[in-house]
Parts: sequence; C-alpha cells; structure tokens
Amino acid sequence: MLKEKTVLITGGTGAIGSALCRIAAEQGASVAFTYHRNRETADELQGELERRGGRVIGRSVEATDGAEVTAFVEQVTAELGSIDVLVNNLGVTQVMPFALIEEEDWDQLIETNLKGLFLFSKAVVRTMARRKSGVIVNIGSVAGHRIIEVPVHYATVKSAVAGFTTSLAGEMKRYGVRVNAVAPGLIDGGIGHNVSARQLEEYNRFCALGRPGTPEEVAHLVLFLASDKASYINGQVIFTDGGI
Amino acid sequence: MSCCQIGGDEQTFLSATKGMCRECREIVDARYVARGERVFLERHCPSHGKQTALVARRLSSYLEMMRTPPGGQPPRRVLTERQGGCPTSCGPCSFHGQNCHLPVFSITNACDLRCPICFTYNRTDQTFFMSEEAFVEQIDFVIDAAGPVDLVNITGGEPTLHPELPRLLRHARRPEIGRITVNTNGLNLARNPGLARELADLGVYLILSFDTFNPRTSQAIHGRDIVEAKLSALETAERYGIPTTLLMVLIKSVNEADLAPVVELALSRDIVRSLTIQTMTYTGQGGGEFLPRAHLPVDEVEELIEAATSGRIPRAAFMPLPSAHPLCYGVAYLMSHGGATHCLTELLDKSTIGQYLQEGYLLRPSDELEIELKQAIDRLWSEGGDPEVLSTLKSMMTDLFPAQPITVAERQRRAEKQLKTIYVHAHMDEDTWELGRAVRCPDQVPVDGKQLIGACNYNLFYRMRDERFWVTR
Repeated sequence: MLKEKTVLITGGTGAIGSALCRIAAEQGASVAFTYHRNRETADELQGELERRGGRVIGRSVEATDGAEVTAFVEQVTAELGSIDVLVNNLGVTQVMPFALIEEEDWDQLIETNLKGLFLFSKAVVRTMARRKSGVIVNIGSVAGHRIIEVPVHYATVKSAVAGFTTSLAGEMKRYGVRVNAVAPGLIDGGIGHNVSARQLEEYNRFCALGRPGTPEEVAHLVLFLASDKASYINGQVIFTDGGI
Repeated sequence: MSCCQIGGDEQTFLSATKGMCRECREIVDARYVARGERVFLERHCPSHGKQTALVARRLSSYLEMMRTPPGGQPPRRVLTERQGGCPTSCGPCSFHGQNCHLPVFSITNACDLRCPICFTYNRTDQTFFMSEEAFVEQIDFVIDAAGPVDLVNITGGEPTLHPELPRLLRHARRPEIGRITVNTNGLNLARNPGLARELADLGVYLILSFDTFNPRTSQAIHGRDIVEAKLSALETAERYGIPTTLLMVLIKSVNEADLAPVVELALSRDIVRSLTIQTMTYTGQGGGEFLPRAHLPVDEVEELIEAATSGRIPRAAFMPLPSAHPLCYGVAYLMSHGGATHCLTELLDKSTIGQYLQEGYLLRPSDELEIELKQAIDRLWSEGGDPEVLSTLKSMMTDLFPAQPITVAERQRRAEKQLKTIYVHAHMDEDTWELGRAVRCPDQVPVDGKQLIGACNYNLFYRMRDERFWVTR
C-alpha cells in the first residue's frame, strides 16, 4: 500500500513505533524513524530493515529542538525523497498520581509530547503544502477520551492530539493533505508495561474483545490511514481499543 | 487499673498463664504483673519459689501491644495428639494457634565459631550434615503440612559449611516457597566467593549476623574478633548482588552502643533489605551461661532504636507482627530512597498495615495495597502532610516506573530496596518462656518429617534430645 512512499515515523523504537517501521517497510515504503536514547534497539531495527532490502534512516532527534527536527526532515528529504507520510508516534509518560505531579513534571511532559507533535508537523507540512499532497497520522490514546486509570498529564496530552488533528486537517484541506489520529487502547508492550495485573483485568472487563491490542493491530490501522485507500478519511480520531 | 498488694509487693495483676522454672525446667503457674512502669513474667515454682523476668519496659506499650488484633490462621494440619499440655506434645497439636509461616531447617550442627552468646545446641564431637534425601523429605513434609510459605530459613550450625548446600537449595526452589533465606556468620562467605556466586545464582537471601563494629565486643560475644570478616562478607554479598538481612543480637550493657551504627549500616547499603534485632536469649550452649544476664523486651529495643536514630525511626513506627505474639515480634517498615528515610506509619495507619501482614512477615505488593497507598498519598497531600514524605514517595515512584520499560522482576527488586524492614524479635529462654507466646509461634522447625515444632519450644525442649545436635553430658 505504501510502495515508493517515504514515511517518517517519530518514536520508532517503542512497541508501536517499531511495528510501524517494520510494516511500512514490508509495504514497500522507505522508512525514516527517530528515537531518543535507545540507540541499541534503533541500530538493530535499522539493520533488520536494511537486511530486508529497505531504505532506512534512524536517528536520535531531540523532538523539542526545532533546529534538530528541521535538520532531520531535510536529511530525510535529501536521502529518501519527499516525505509522503508523517506518523507522529513519539510519546513519553510518567507514572505518577495527580497528588505528586509537580509543575516541572507537567511542563516537561506537555513539552516533550506536544512540542514534538507541533515541530515535526510544521517541518513536514511545509513540504506537503508545497507539493499539495501528503498524509499525517497522529497517535493519540483512548486515555484522552475515556475514564481510564492513567496519569492526568498523559491523558491531557493525548486529548490534545485530537484537537490538533481536527484543526490541522481543517487548515490543510486546501492543499489536499489529510490529517487523522488513531487512539489505541491498552497495547501489549507499549505503556502497558506499567500496567498492574489489576489494571489489566479491569481493562479486559470493560473491553468488548476482552484483551489488550497488539502493536501490529495499531500499525496496520495507521498505515491504512496513510495509504491512498483511505483517501476519503480526514480529520478523524479512530479508536482501536477492542471496544471500550 | 488500680495497684494493689499482691504477695507483699505493690504491683498490678495483668493475667495468669504458665511459665517455666529456670531451676527445674518444669512448667509452672505464672502471671504477668506490672510494677511501676515495668511488666514482668512472674513464675511460681513449688520447689524453687518465685522467679521474675522483664517482658515489657513500659506498661503502656505492653497494653497497646496486647490490643493488636491477632492475625494468621490455626495450623493447616494437626500432626500430634494433645497429651500432657504444652510444650510436651508439639507437632503442632490441636492447642497450637498458628500455622507455620517460617519453617526453619537446621541442616547441620557444624560451626566454625563457638560464640559465648549462642542460644542453641550443637554438639562438637560429631558432625551432622542433613542428606539431600532428608532435606527433600522435610521440604515436602512442610509444604504438605503448612501449605505454601513466603519464606523458608536454612540454618545450622553454620549452614554454609554444608558441602552440598547449593544442591539442597535447588530443592527448595519451588513454586510453594516464596523466598529462601540462609543464615550465616559470614566467615565462609568472606573467604569463598565461589559459594557467594552460587547463592546469588540460586536467588537466595542471606541473613548475615552482625552484632558489633567493636573488636573487643566481638571477642566477648563471638569468642574472637570477626568484625572485618563480617564486613568482608557484606561486601561479598554486595558484589554478587545477594539481598541481605543483617541480624544483630542486642545484649544489654554489651553492644547497645553498636545499635546506631548497625541501623545506619542497614539503611545506607542498598543490598541490605532488612534488619532483624534479636534480643539476647539466655539459653543454649553459650547463652545459658552468658553474663551479664539482663533481658531486653521488644518495646525497650524499639525505644533504643528511636534513641539511636535520634528519633528518625520512632517507637511509634513499630507494631506487633499480627501472626505472632506481640512480645515476640515488632516490625517497622521504612520507605528509603535517595538518603531519605520515612516510616510507613507516616502514610498508613497500623491497622491497615496489619491487614496486609496477616499471613506472615512480608508486606507483599497487591492491588489492594496499591489502592491503599494511592489513597494515603492523596490524603497526605490534601491534608498538607510533610512535603519531604511526598518527595520521597515521588522519587520512589520515578525509580519504580522509569521512562524506559523495566521488567516486573526488576520493578519488584527496586521496590524491595525502597521498602526496608526492621524486625525486633525476642526469642524465649527459661526465664521468658510463656504458654501464650509458645502457642502463637509461626516459626516452626520440621522434625523427622513428622512434626512442626515452634522454634522456641524446639530450642528449649526438643533440640537437646536430638542426638544429631546434642548429647547430655
């Protein structure tokens, strides 16, 4: 579905990020991904994709640094071609009850998650607007929309992803750039590694499918939205949560 | 409560029970009485008259301890017929009040020390090493009789002298057993890093006896100066990552000055998960003759810890262990992170903590406890609690849930490092043995695959009859 497309995925070494990279490469895309500190995993992922014949760039990028973000987007464009798809997947969380969240925690989490979303989108949309083509898919979370036991600042960020998505879709309509968001539920290996047995049981109880999702299930939806097959889907937040 | 004249002394009668005559070792009528602030166990032997032993430093703390609701369950299986009354038909009989929570396996009588404070019996003319087959049989027996246990304790003698210790320990690694602890004086471990590596690989926890930093005191209580060897053993445990409990025998007028540095050692070293202060027990091959003879009750030790830590660990942080008699065990849980130490009682009240300690010694993570802690954090925060406590809790949370994923096992390891425990444990000797304490004993010694005997009953009445450990001279 993504043959000869160039896909930029932020936060490529996490559970969902690495599934996105692998499946995008399988679908024929050239893949660029960012990571923060996890160099070993990034090198392994890049090596794996290259061995399969893919064109790949993996780089550690400080997502809150506009100059670094712009430089990476320029590098990807120069080496892999114009970016057709941006997946804003990077996200960090901090397991902390509301009582213990301090101002600096709030600022840091908001900045890392939302500034990265903004900076990557701004840098990439510029080229998409010029070419009057492109797709952005933002990764939100069901936690931004439902009562789920997650840290408040994390839920805030994920809720903000929805507003960012619909608003940017409205602005970009004149350039034919589609902007959508995917809101996963509890996913194996994602932030789910912080979930206790009780929380898992509770999630399963309220989930119609009675289980957490897999990173691949999220990745397939994201890359469908990124493909031309989803050409009439725009400005949407699509849940992949097993039915909460 | 009013004072009255009983038997010519001004004292307050508290309760009647059975005790033990130090002279003839018969079980005799006894009573708890208060004289002024202090509480004594007073035994009345028809042949040897009245004998008393201090059991609580303060009447108020005694009464508070006795109000603690008892926890635990009666024995899962009654193994002996009740004949002759406690302690003559141990096994447990139908009179025993507590299931076994801590089985204690004496796998050898060999020891490379002859401590003047040793409160047990180990014959020196003939070495006994429990066979692998016998050990397996004992383990099977305990699980069958008591059910799954959080802890087992491997002791001796000095268990690390057992030539097949790792083979034995492998048999104890089974799903019904949460944690294997091995007592040691540390000498063998300090000179045998290969053994330390094996113990680390087997996932055991060490209980390292550590009584003093003072060479002269060490000479007096161990028979020779072994301070450096103990420190070296602790370093070995640290090098190989073996979680360790420090076990200090506290002796009035002998090593009280060591209490502060030992507590500090326990709090400052990550590898030390807990500290057990065991009060001197004046029985056995060494302790029976040890002087000066002055019993230290649990509440007095807790006061001494408060003084030794300048109030950082107040007596109010301690509570009786619900599954044992209040005069036998006190426990305090400490949240320790980044140099800060706070008592769990600053966050949760004792009755709440007690609910999670009903079945043993370890405060196990559970969903219910997690909810209690979250509610406690909200309460502390909303009521304007100590910001330092909140800051410590936050550091702990950040460590337990870092940005990069960690495994469940790693999170559990980190949690153990952060929640340190201080136990105060008073064994009974001829002066302090008392029926009520004996029947609530959760520490039990398996004997011949047939009996589970409360640890103090075993040590005072049974071990010296076992030819593997003792011969009457």
